[in-house]
Amino acid sequence: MKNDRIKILLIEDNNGDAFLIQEMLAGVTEAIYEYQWCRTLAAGIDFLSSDQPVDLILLDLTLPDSSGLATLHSVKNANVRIPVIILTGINSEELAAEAVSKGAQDFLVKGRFNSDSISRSIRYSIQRQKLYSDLVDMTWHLQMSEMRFRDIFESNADGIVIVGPDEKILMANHSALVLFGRPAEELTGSPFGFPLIDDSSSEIEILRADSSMVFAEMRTTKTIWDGKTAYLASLRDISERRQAEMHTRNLNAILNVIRKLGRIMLSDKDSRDFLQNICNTFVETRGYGNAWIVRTGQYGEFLEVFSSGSDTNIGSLAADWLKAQMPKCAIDVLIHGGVYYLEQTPAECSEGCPFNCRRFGKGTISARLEYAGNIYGFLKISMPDGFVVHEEEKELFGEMANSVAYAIYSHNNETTRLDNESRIRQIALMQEQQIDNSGVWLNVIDPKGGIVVWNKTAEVISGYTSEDVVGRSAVWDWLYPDAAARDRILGQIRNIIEEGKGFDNLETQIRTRHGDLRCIAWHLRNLTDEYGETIGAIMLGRDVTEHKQAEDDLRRTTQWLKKIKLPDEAEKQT
Amino acid sequence: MFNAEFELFVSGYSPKNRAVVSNLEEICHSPELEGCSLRIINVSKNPEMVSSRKLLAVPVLIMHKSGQERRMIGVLDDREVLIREIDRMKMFDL
Repeated sequence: MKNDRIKILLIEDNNGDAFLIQEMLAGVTEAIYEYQWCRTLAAGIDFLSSDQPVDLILLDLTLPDSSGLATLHSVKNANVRIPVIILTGINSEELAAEAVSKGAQDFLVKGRFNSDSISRSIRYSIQRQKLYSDLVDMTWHLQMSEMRFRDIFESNADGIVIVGPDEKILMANHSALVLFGRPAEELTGSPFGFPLIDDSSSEIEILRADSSMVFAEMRTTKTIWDGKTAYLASLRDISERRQAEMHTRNLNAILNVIRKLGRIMLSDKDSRDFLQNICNTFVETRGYGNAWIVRTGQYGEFLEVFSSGSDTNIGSLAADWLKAQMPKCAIDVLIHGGVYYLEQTPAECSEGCPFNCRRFGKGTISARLEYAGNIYGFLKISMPDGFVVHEEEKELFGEMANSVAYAIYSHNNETTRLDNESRIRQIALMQEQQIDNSGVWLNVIDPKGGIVVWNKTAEVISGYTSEDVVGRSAVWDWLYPDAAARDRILGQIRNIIEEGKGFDNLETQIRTRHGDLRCIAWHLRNLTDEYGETIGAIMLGRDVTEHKQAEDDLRRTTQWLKKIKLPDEAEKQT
Repeated sequence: MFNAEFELFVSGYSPKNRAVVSNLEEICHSPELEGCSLRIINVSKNPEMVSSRKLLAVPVLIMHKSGQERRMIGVLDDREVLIREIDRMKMFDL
């Protein structure tokens, strides 16, 4: 402080005292004093208000406008940070102590100090005030810092717990209390655990007082608390994020199941493979514990069961069914239809039930397999522990059951169609064989006279094969080289096709491929489609050549016999 | 030989919890921890354990040794971190 300029505000109404003090300080070599002398308190306070620099105030307590400690109080009010030395004529220890306690740095009794003592008092007062001001500043900053920390700690949306070296919670903010669902007095002192830290965060499940759980992301950092190492664990509620992630993952798995079901439905022609593969897909792709498809008849009679999963002991199901001891859930779903969701196993379910949910995990979902009014049984799955099923999944499960039912329906229809086709083919074959072996000439003619059907007997009698004549009309020229005879038969055919008339025993003579003549007796009828429209003619011919010859022979013999006269008749004539 | 009993409390067997269980099983079967036992408790199936053991969060690993217990929470699926912590406990005899 040597040669420092010290600016002193001297508030003193006594001229002699004021000069004396200035005189004393003039001889001091360590510092140069500059004075501002005010004779009243008001003038001193005015000067302090002018913001001019002042390093120290020398204050007489007895002034024209103020006296006693009230004078000090007023000056301190005007500026608390400038050190004040009291100058008074009253030598009182009590007053001195009170003045110091009210903020004065020193208390000097007039006439009892000299140049050295006042100079020392001024220097020390300035240093003490500086230390005091610094302390006040630090305390203030510390208080502000703590307030800011408190604000951040308390208003943080994340739960924050301070964990001590004994793994117990030392302090928890408001968000942490909400997160844990516990009051501060319960949480403080409870064992949280030593937080294992790495560079990343970790996920934990907070066990709340009401038995619910909250997923939280935990970040931990080392800190000092009350002078000891502690851990600050910041906990962020990520339940919604976790639920959304789980939801998306579940829906993706279900969509995969649906895609695979579609492929299975298209590729598996065997219905048993198809139903077994559906069960496998539910377990493998969605992660259900078990999947069953119970096939029943229209009236609930047991047909067969398919299953997949960890425990597929369904041995007693068929026997129980026959004894009418079906599981209640099976009866419910078969009778009422729809989707049945059981979050937990009902109390009335027996331990021996093949669908015992307790054995498989949490609960089950069942849906009746129904399509176009036909009931094919039901589809059932079990859920492992911790398995979450959302509303969409229940709806999609119902739709998946509908798809399975539709696939069973299509499989059944396809089987029926194939059976029917096979039966029709057999009947057609038998009919063809009967027609071929009947000895009757059969041909079918389209409206233009083209041959559509030409059977074996027609081939044998005419000598022309089916390949020779089908799809052509040239056969008429071959069979009836005589134009008049050909026109006659073709005219009859036209009549049949155009007017629907039929003829029986229309005898015509044909020329066979081998050149011999055969007599055919025709039965002609028109051929109609399912709407009754004539689409051609059907001709059934019987080879009556030998019969006609026999008739001709008989006629000739009869005529010859008529010409011969028997003896009795000759006598009668004579 | 380091004789300690470990209890791992989990809630269900999610993929994350399965990773923790598998990490713990592997560590407990390592030669360094020969003589240690591991018990896994699912608090979903044993909800009474939450209050009786004053559990605030899971997964939490409790190590019992010489009548004292230490709880660990956090990155239990990290083998390195877990071994480092168990080693630290061994060094200070819990």
